[in-house]
Amino acid sequence: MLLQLFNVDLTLGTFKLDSVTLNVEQQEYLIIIGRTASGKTTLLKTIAGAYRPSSGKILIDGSDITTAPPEKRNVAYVSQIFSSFDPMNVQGNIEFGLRARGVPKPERAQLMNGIVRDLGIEHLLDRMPATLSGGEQQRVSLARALVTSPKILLLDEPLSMIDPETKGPIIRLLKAIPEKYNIPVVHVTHEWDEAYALAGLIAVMHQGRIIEAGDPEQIFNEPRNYHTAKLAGFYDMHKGVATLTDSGSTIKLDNGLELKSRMKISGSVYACVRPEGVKIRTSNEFNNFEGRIVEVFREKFGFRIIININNIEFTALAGSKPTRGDIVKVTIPEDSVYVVPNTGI
Amino acid sequence: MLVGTPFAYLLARNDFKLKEVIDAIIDIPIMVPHVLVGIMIVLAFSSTYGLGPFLQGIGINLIDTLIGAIITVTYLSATYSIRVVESAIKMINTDVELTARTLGSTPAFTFIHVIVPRIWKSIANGAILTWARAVAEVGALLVVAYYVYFNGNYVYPASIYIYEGYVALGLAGVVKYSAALLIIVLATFIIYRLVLRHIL
Repeated sequence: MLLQLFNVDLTLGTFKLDSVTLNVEQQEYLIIIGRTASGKTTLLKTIAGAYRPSSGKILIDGSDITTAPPEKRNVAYVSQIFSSFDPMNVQGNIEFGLRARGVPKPERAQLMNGIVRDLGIEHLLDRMPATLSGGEQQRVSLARALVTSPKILLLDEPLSMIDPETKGPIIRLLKAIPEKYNIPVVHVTHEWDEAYALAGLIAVMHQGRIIEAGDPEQIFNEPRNYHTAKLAGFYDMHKGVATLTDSGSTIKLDNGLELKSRMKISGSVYACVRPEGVKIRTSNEFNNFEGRIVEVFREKFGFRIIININNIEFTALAGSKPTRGDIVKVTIPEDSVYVVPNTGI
Repeated sequence: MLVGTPFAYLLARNDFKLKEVIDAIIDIPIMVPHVLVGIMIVLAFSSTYGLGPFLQGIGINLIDTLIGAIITVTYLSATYSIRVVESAIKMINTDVELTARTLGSTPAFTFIHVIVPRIWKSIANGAILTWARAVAEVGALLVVAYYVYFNGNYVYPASIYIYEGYVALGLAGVVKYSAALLIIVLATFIIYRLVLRHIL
């Protein structure tokens, strides 16, 4: 394991990182995902050395760096904003870490030339950072970090300031980093699509704790708790009580609505349904309801509509524009009803 | 600049016990008449009170000396420099420093190469405000350094000289000195603004 965190605790005002344990391998791409204020950036900055844990240990390549200052950790932190070192031009920015480490000028030039070729930014070296586009700034940030040969690359929402057209190439570039530079990447984000595209491993943070970790498919298809399911795209999550049946379970929602699921589960649960699982004007043996369209939103793929069924709202997708107030027939196939136990997280 | 900038960085970037007390002490020159600050300094450093006997024992006298006058106006005026620079440092996202540090930069290297280039204008603004405030000081100097023994002569700070001249000779006797001081200060500020504009 290249990066290991053992029961890391940290208190910052009223916020607390609570017993965080993580293991990251040499060429792993770890995504830490969570909502705003879940603690993901605080955790990343703790690994970077901005905060000192009140207890627990952080090991890099077997060495305990829990109390080491940032410059002694050999990790490279790339922040959400482009942290340009003014008034240096792009070349000055990229060479900064090498200059700080006392690397001689000829060697600096050699290392820099290699990295700027890799990232396709040779033509930007004389430019001032403020004149660069979001994608160019992010490439410069990565070059500046990678040129120092860090043991770990820490990325704090690196795609948040980039326009959608530029995201694709940057995602390809990021995905190639672990193998190309033989280092692990720890990347925090709140965007599920970004996480799903990049992750080799996903850790879900909620209220300062890692509540779930696993491979992306497992987290996406079989989340184990409410908050993970919410992040993984289950728009509609309704509380109910599940009872076992021969083919799975029946969930009686709080409003009396009954949903069939193929999952065998009982007790207090959340019935989770993605918009693509809610079908309009089709028929099925189970889960047929009548509902009223209460809201319609335009989306890239067509329309997202909110349907009120017995005072509980479900989200569905439609190709043609439906009318608000229409009464529609709705089917939710059994295999579209995913169920997580109600554990309080 | 030398006193205010490190202090400003300390206050802008750190939370520590008694920070509020230190903050309040820095603001004393804004809170109270400067005569009172002069009295505090005399009580602390005169030959018979506070640290005075100890300092005199090692050959340092702060009352009616150049060093005493400098320390007095530095304390009274540094507030402006500290607050201006502190605000400028607070405007810099801490991520910039963390990025630099993880690249291998020590705190000192980061301060010199990352922070100072972003705040030098505020340092310069703070410095000139501090200088102007020091030139304008009367109250505390009346108590601490009414005159200064310097290079074999007794020298009066300009503001005290003008005040004494006004009391002794009346308006006509001090107009030319007042005008001279005003022209010097005004010219300094105009040159400073022009240089700043030229550099930017």
